[in-house]
Amino acid sequence: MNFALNIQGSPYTSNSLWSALHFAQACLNEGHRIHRVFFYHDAVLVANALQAPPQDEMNLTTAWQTLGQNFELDLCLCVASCLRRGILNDSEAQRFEKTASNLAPGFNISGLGQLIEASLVSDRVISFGA
Amino acid sequence: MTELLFILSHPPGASVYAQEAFDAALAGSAFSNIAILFVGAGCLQLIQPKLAVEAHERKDFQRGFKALADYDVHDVYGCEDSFKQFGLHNQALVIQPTLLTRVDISARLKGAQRVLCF
Repeated sequence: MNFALNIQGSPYTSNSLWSALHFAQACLNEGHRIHRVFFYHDAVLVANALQAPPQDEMNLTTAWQTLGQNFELDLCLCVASCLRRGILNDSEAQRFEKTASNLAPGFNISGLGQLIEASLVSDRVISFGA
Repeated sequence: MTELLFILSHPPGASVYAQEAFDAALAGSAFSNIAILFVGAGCLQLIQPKLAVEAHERKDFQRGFKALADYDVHDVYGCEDSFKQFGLHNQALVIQPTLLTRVDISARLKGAQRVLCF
């Protein structure tokens, strides 16, 4: 089956990104496909490259990057959610004349159309609420 | 047939979630035939805002509900139980949704090709 994931919760004040990570791992290990993982609302904060959690805690950003790399997943962030919350790639940082960008490698910034397209072409869309 | 059913469950005001969820529904309307269902505290989004925007300093996104018909979105539903729970029957609303019982909601969920929960 082909899935689309719609993740909305904040990394440290919601279980959303954790649940979604385990769901995605289980899906892929069972041979299913994930058309796209769409990060919306506060879930985009997982792509902040400047996070430095203690070494004895699980790093959610790294976990998603690793999963994304291993299974060539499209880890797509909503641009409007990102801009509100200060997640910027190089081109957005330049466009808004910010001094730095902070998008973690492996994630890409795009629009809500990507969520809609993924929902329409996948067999199931699974939302992980805020 | 409804291709995408958007379920909106966050209250307005306390967070930006309700506003962003509505943005997602509008994006959906540009690509496909959508329906919107307000459930739980999400029904509170429908109350006509009583404060001027200057007083609460947040975007008055609910005004956009009135434009849904212009986006060709005609299927706007509310959960009847939630309306009772929050006492919305006598409130001034931005738009009046079609109220659905739990049985109706189950049927709508089954009838939609995809469901997106916010």
